[in-house]
Amino acid sequence: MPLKPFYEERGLPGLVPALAPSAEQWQSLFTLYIIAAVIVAGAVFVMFFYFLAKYRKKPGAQDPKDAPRVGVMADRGNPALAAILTALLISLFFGLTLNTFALNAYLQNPPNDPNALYVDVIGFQWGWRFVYPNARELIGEFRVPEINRTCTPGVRGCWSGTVILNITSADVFHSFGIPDFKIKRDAIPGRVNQAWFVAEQSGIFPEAIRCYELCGTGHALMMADLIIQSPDSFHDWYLSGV
Amino acid sequence: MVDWHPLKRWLFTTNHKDVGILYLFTSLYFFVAAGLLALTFRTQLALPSNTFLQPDEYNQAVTTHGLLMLLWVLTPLGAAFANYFVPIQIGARDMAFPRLNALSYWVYLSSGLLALSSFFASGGTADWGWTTYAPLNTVEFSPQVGGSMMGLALMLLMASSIVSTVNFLVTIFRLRAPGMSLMRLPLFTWGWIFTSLLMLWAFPSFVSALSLLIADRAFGTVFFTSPQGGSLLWDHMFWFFGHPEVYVLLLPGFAIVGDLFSTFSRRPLYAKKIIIPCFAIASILSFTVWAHHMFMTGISQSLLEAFNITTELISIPFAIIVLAYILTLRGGSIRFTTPMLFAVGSLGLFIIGGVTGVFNSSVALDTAFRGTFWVVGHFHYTIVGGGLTGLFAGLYYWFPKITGRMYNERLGKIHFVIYMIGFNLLYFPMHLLYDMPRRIFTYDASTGWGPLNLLITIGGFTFGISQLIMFANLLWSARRGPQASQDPWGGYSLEWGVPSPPPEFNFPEGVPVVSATGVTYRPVAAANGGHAMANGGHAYGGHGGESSEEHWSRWPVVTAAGAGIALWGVLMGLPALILGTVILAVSFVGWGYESLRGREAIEAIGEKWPFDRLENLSLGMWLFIFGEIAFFGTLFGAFVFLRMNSPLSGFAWPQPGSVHNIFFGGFNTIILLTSGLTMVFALMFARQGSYRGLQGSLVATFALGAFFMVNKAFEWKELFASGFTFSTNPASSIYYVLTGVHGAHVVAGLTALTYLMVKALKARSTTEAGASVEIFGIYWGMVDAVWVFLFPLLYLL
Ligand code: HEM
Ligand SMILES: [Cu+2]
Ligand SMILES: [Cu+2]
Repeated sequence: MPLKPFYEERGLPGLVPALAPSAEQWQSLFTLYIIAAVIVAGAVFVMFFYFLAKYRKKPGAQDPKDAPRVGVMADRGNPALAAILTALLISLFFGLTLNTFALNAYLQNPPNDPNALYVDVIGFQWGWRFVYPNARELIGEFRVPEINRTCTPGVRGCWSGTVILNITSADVFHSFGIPDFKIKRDAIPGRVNQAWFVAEQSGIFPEAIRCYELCGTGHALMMADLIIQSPDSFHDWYLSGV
Repeated sequence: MVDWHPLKRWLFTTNHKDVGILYLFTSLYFFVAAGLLALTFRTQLALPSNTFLQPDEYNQAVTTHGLLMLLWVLTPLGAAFANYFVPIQIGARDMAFPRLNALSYWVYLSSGLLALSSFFASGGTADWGWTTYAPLNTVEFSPQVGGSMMGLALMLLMASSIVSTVNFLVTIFRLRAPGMSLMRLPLFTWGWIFTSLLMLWAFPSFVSALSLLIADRAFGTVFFTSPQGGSLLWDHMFWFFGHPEVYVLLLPGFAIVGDLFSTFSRRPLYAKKIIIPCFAIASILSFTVWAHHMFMTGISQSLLEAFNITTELISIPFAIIVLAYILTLRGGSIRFTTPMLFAVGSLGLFIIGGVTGVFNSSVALDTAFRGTFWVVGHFHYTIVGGGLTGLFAGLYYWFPKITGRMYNERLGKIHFVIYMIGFNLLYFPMHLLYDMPRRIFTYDASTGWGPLNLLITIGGFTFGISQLIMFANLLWSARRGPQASQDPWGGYSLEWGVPSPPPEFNFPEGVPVVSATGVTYRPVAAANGGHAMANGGHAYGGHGGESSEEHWSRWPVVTAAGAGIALWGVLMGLPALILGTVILAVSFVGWGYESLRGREAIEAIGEKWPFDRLENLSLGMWLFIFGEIAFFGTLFGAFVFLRMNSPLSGFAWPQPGSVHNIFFGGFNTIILLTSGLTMVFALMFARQGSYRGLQGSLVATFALGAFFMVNKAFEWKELFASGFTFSTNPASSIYYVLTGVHGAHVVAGLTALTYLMVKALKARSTTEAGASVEIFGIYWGMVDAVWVFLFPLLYLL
């Protein structure tokens, strides 16, 4: 029973439904930044346009007394303002950055989950190869189990839904991204980069995986479908190919 | 002004204003070319699954669009204004080195033509994006010769810019008029100081990255193909240049906006004394943020966090500047003529770009943004919205000064409105496409990206067409516009105190003398007791054409043509290579003859702080060495990177002594250091006036340098014979590149030394050669010092 592909549910920033905890957390961080940005930039623009309107030249108006003329520019200004602005911005950034670092720590460090699924992801010109722990391989299609909260830790064959990716490249620089999960990591030849996610709902999501670094003429078409299955059907598939 | 044949004027001019006009036309020409490319690939993206362009055509168009806009449009457009106005703003009659200035322009043009011609090479041009990521940029994945040609064109352009920055810095620091203290300089000149410093430090790093790339492509070294170097080596080297580069693009326009806010609101700049340090802080910080372009490359978490923080910090000086600009308006009487409208637009767009920049600084949010159209939206708001719009403001602002005529105000306002509508339609929707990868040539309708892309393309054409209004307005007004007065805006920088257009030597009434109450002009003789006349016969004022006879040189254009043809020949065939080399050789001899007539001896009589004690040429040489430090420093950085990375990637770096003969290397070190000593002797003899001693020590220096090179050649030969070649491993690659570029510096030094020896021989005295010996001594000392680092690095560690 495939669900609607994600893209039909995509909306403007801030309106994307939660598809994975990573996407959810990303959304709330993004919202935080948007709020800060709208307040700060809003205040700046209001002041800017207010001055522009208020101090426009009135008919017949004289130049201010200290108007610049050739060779002369009077000195003015209050340096304390710079210090105040710096302090304000630093405290704002402090708040934003704490949140950023929290999410970053979450994204960077996969949980220590014995029931996680480890997959090697290899980018190549032009496609994605997925290699599973039992050496099953997929190209152009990525199957993972959806979240399973009832898994007993350590039981073999029980997938918790945590998917840990070891990402590399067979040729040039690619970048592995699942935009709907807000997951991305560069696929670099000679290096292995980690990323991880948990999927919240099963379904077939065509072309949900893309490459985000120009890698030659096939870059635009370097996609893979994402297939999220219930734990059982995933396990059946997993064993069936060996 | 001078009744020369136009061909002579435009080909051979060394007048900074003429050179500025050449820069202006050329950069606008490249602007049109790069803009048309953008419209081509925007047409392709207008509809889902469009087939207007082939994938490789798309990639070439995107790459060339980016490279041209950044390097051949934006900075040279700033350089056009800097050439025309910086000398006037500081109260000088020309640049410190007018011929070198002309050379910079012609080399810029020749590099641009080389870049464009790469489009027509078989297989097309570079198609790897302006960021040129490795290893897509290596021959295995991008064999086309046009890619290498683009690399050479970039090198040539970097050479032009580095020469130009040295020239500007010497000019600004040493040729200021009496009373023109640094703090009195207008913001635009300050902006150009920092632009130049950034270029002087960043561009040589790019040259070193390009050297490795070209070595890989031409000689089979393995920097970007081996896992020890590879993608990350390029990333670090490229972005160390790349982030400062984006400020190089921004600062000139951004500085113009400040001057215009003050002029058009009739108020002094708010807190200019804070704005200038903020420029400085931002410039310094710009070298500490490069890895924010590498948030997804898997570098360590603590590094990510560090770069996250530096990137946030760099927004603070900009925020302070923006606030100061806005506060400038308070209490003013603002005139909304076209230059001011563009200045307001520039600041508004830059604020938006700056805000999205804070989003990009977040290493966690970047998981979504990296490599998407969000980034494209962000950087167009900053460099096009902030930078280019500011430069266009400058174009309208200075148009009456350059042409002596007024542009059409109504058309200017129409241009502004359409420009802003087009711009925002073009770039704002890109932020909403934060899932869409950039540089894709097609997308499927099912992605839902179609409508926004159509909007973007419509915006692109609107934006593009709006520029036609400007071109028509300016071209028509330059001939037919009403006469402009000397100071139509009430500007405060010195160009508004001289006629429009300014006469050949800028200040017809004499030396400008700046004080707290204004500017006065001192007739030349009174200014310095006729001293300026002794210095090469150049006077301020320049009544009639008494010195304009010397205001030209035929060699800059010849040298640039030779360089362009030779580089083209490197890839396209021996005849062109030989032709280019011959032209170059002829031009060098030509330069030598000219310089004996002392053409560049324009001396300052005003403010020189903080470089009162250095001659122009020595200051120039020190600045050049500053650039060399960046060049070699980045190469050393590459060495360290390869070295540290090799255990991680399972490569055993050769043990000291196992490949290189330490004894041999040590012997060579001693030879080179001895040549340093003989150079010191040469200096001493020159000071004492001992002609024979000077000639003897120059010959000894030459002999030792040549001996060093001969030894080096033997060493290379033996290494090659033992199987240690360019492509053996990263250790061999970096060995050959480091010793190779150092050797090239030695050879360049020996060539200059030949010059010196001939000069001293001809003059049979030390007075002629004295100054040159000193300058050469600085260079030779640098060459020695580099080797002092290289030897232990390559042989002992
Ligand atoms: C007619 C005006 C312009 C249009 C329609 C336009 C459009 C675009 C678009 C859509 C891209 C992204 C292509 C992609 O990633 O697939 C792009 C890239 C770029 N643009 Fe523009 N742009 C214009 C003007 C400018 C200007 C004035 C500058 C700089 C001064 C500039 C600098 C760049 C750079 C550096 C890139 C990156 C190239 C790369 O990805 O390698 N553009 N432009
Ligand atoms: Cu790709
Ligand atoms: Cu940057």
